[in-house]
Amino acid sequence: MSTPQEIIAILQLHRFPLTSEKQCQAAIAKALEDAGTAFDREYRLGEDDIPDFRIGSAFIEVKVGGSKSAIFRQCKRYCRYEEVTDLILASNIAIGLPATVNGKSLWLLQLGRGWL
Amino acid sequence: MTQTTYGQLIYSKGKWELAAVPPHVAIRLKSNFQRIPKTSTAPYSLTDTPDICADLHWFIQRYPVEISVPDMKRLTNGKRSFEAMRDHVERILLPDYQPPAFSGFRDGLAPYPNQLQAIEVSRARGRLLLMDDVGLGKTVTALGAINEGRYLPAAIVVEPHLATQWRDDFVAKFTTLKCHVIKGMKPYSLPSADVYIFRYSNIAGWVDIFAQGIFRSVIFDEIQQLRHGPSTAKGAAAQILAHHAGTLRMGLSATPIFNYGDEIFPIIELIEPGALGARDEFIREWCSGSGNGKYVVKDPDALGTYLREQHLVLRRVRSGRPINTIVHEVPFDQEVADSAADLANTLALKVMTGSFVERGQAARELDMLARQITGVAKARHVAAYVRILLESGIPVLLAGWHREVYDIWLKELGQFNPVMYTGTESPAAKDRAKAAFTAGETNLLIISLRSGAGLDGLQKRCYTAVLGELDWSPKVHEQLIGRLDRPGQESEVTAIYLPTNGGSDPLIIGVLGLKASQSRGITDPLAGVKQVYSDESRIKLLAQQYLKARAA
Repeated sequence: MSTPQEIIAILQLHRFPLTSEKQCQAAIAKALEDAGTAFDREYRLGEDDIPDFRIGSAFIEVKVGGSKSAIFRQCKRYCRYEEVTDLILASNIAIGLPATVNGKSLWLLQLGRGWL
Repeated sequence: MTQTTYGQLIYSKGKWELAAVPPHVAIRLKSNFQRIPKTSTAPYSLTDTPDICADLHWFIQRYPVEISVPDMKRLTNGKRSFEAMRDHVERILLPDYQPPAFSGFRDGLAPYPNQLQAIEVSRARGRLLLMDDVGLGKTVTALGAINEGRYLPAAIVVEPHLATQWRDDFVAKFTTLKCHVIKGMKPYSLPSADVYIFRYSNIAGWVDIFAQGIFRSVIFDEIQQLRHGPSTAKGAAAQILAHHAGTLRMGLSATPIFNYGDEIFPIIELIEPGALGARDEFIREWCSGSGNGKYVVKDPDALGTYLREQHLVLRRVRSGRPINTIVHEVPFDQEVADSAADLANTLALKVMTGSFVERGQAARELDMLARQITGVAKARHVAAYVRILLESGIPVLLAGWHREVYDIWLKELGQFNPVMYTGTESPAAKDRAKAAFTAGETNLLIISLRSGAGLDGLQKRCYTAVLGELDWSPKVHEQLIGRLDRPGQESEVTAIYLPTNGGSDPLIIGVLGLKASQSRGITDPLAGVKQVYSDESRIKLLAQQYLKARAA
């Protein structure tokens, strides 16, 4: 099972399309597949809480746009669930995140870095 | 039996107008022709281009319209012209294409097969944005394309410092064409020549000459210089030149899009006016607003494949050695940043509350200040990283932007005798700095991110670029690294980015990612996700050696 650091290390070396969230998600799925990482797409934590990827107890939410406060609220919601130990926000938005929320680790994958 | 019709289609003054269209057909029409505003009512108008003719011709098969015989003939001719051009260019681009015999270059010199293909494509269409990678010979292709009587005299517009290089290293070397480099902005009686070389900095003075239509063809080298369109003096002059040089119009650039994808519009407008419709049609069809009056292309790959289908663009990529790209986060000195916070607060207030002019000015100053503070707050850490390389004897090209940042680097790395190649140095001082670096008198050349365009020779001495500050345009970084990754480089090039998790860097990285992603979609549609080559092992080894030496 991959750790959040390993997942970030894999994904950080890719240039994902950043105009459309759907295309970005599809590209991330392909990168995870190519790396041999098993994952679920759109795992349903609750009625409206559906992170884009689940890799064991680490979840990935992809955001290429949107307001910082809305993104953070969504992250906090996901961190309420017991299944979640780590949440990786894969985003192109310049956002600061606390290290933990509700005892769950929060990680930021800066999608723009891959394009440097 | 009378055929049911769904409105009228009329040609008028360069536009196709659809009138009396029933509501359900209007919905279909708008969903097929995105450039028609969703909120508009009949008559609906579309700029007349061959591909619009082809699409409209197809649409009226399903929804027949009343159309006059001459208009139907015009529509059909437009459709046929689109199909004939597409078929012709596709034949040229087949791998087994045999180009016609080429003559016109000096004895023993001839374009390569890939260049001959591009020459034929440009001549077939009379217009081409050639986006081939650096090293594939865009210059030779362009010279080959105009090297025939019907394209002469030709105007070639180049970056100011490359005019004599074009004359001596390309026109004179490859062709027997007579060449004249234009001096200054004030028109004078032009000597007889085949090729006239203008600089982007002087074309604005020559518009009256352009309007006389004496140039049959035009080549815009590094056409991204015109990405701001006719709102600039050089853009307006280029438009007049292009308009009157109708036989062949070519743009050359491996990196036509510097920022957001909408920059392709003014560039295509020079090559083939109206090809993307009017600007408002282009915005509606392809873009969404990103704030600040800027537009992001919604689906860059789709725009890229569309331009390819029109054969207005051609791009071939070089399969070269990948750049070793290392992104290493350095610390951010908060106390350094805090010391500038008061000024930043004042500017921020003006951005929010000032008059229109004040707001614009303050926003620009705030952006400059934020970047400067970021650069200063990490400058010592950048210098520390560079020190590790220098102490191992590795020549380094260190790129930045702000004088205040250079001052810190000069102080921290003074023992390595750095030389400078920035906006502050005179051309002679820059030449001396380059000579000292290439001769091995120093291992550290500090360069401004935007000063190195066209700079050649560093690749023989250096293979490591450190980007100590970030630019807003990804193409500026690419061009900077291109100083080292160019013919003559014998080692693997390493590009080291040193961003920090504070100040403006996170924001800039996000913007850079979006811009680069837009550009890649348009220039290399459907190329898939690229994996970055990043090998830190050598740098880590150097760091270990450095620490060991320090401890000893």
